[in-house]
Amino acid sequence: MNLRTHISFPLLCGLLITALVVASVFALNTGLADISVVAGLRDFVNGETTLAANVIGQIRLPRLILALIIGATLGMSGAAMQGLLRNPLADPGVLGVSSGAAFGAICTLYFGVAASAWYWLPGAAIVGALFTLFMVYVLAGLHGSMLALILAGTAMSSIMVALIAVTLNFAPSLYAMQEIVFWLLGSLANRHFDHVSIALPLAALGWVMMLSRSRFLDALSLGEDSARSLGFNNHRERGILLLGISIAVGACVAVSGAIGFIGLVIPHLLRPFVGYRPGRLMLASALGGALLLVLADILVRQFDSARELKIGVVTSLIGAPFFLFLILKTRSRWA
Amino acid sequence: MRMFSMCVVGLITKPIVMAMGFLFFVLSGAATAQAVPERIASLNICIDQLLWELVAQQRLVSISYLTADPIWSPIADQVKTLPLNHGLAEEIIPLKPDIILAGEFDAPTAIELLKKLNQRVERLPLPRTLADINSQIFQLADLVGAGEKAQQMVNKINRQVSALQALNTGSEPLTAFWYSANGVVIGDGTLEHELMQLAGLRNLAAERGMYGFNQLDLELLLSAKPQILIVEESQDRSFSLAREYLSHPALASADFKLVRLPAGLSGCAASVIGDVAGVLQQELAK
Repeated sequence: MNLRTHISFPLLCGLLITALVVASVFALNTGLADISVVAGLRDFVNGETTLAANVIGQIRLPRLILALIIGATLGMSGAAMQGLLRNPLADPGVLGVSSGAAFGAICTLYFGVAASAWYWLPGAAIVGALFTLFMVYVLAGLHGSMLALILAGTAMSSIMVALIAVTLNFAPSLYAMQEIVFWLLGSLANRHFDHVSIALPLAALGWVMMLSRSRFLDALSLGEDSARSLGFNNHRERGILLLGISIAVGACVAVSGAIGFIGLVIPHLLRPFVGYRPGRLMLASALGGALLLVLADILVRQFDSARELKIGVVTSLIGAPFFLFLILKTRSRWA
Repeated sequence: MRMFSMCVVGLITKPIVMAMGFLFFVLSGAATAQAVPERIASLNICIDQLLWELVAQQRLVSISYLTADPIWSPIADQVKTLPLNHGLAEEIIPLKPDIILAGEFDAPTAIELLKKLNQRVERLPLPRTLADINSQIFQLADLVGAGEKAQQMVNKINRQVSALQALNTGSEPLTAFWYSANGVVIGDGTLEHELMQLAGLRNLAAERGMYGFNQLDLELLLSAKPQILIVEESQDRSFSLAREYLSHPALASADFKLVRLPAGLSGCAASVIGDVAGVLQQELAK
């Protein structure tokens, strides 16, 4: 088609990984404390409690790791949802999956359940994500109409946001509403290794579930019937994908709040480079998503303002115009 | 003569006590000729707590619903039988109060309405300094006719504040941050800053040129290497994202003395200031 498609898949992944490593080094160097990164890492590994070790090990490292995990998850889930729904506008944020996860998370956070055991917070977020995704899928996924999908997503998203508001009304803390407005914008500020240990295992499980279905997604791009005739049990494969997406997105939203549009933008940018194969797109989008989120996180730390700019705001500022552009581009296919 | 000079020294070392005495003198002199109101309604949890100390409970015809909520109020159990309001005019009017008390920023629409209905509404300003607290107590006492009790209350606060002041021995001052919820440090122009000054601490936030309440990046907070970090206990036991900041492991592995104070200074300062000063004094003396 064009020059872009001549890049081989391993080369693309290699380039993305190189860029990720460079961005990660930058991210570790980004921060307001004036310390040596190398000394900090060395001290942290040796278990010393110097200022540098503390800042690098307890503040910047977990933040970087979370950016990588969450970016990868959002990128991969976006690619998986677009493949599954065969619809370029699918994304965890746009279709309300993140709001559903946030609703689940908020229910446990504000009523004291989250503190009782570590699994409640991500567990509830995953259930919320799964419920929303399932509803959107049932309401619109089968028609393949973009308008129906976006409307179903918007409706579910509104329902979830309304449920969040109702829940917060009954929360014992008077400041719950103000707090959650900011939390919903998504942020990686002041997250620590406890958050990593909540998000990483579940996100990894979700990744494995999604990646294991890449051959099904390739087959599905030819149509439902073709996938069936190729020997896939469509119901089962779809179920595993929906569950995988929900687990990964739920685990991430539980620690970072809702960070939007990464799952929409990244698969679009990378699709031409992977020969339009949904299976491969998931891995490439995971790398690309991680890269975008690490870069966005470097960006939010550049501004010296009274309050840190929320990372979800940055991704939305990049993503929402892109979303509009996509709608305009695909307008002819709407029905 | 010796007695007199001791007296003078005593007054100089306790300027706040002196200022309070003067304020009380002025305020009591300026007491209004209005009759002492018998039936009192209050829209503010802090005013409720002060009234509870100052007047007989039969005179309270309505208090804020927050005062009856154990999450927010230490006297919740004791006020269960009193009628509650939610800051709505229609809850107040049928009770026919002689005076309605509200805070500076309470329910503006309800207060406008109450005034239109010819009710006597008095608004008390929020205290921002130690002197404000005492004058707030006296102002309230003046409105409800409880000067004697107010004097006892103020004396108690002044005793605890002077004990804190006694710690300030003029030796090399320790550096400190007052670290509040949401990663906010408290700078100049606040009650907290005043307490730190009295205790002889160097407020690093004020030295950075911060005024009032400002968010401070965790990395900068650690880089400043404070010797003392003052945090407040959670006011309520319910979850709050704002308090997540205080559980960051980087704070646990940093090298400073952590001082935990009772909550509520940013809420009802007048009713907790004495306790806060007392605990701060005990913690620093350790």
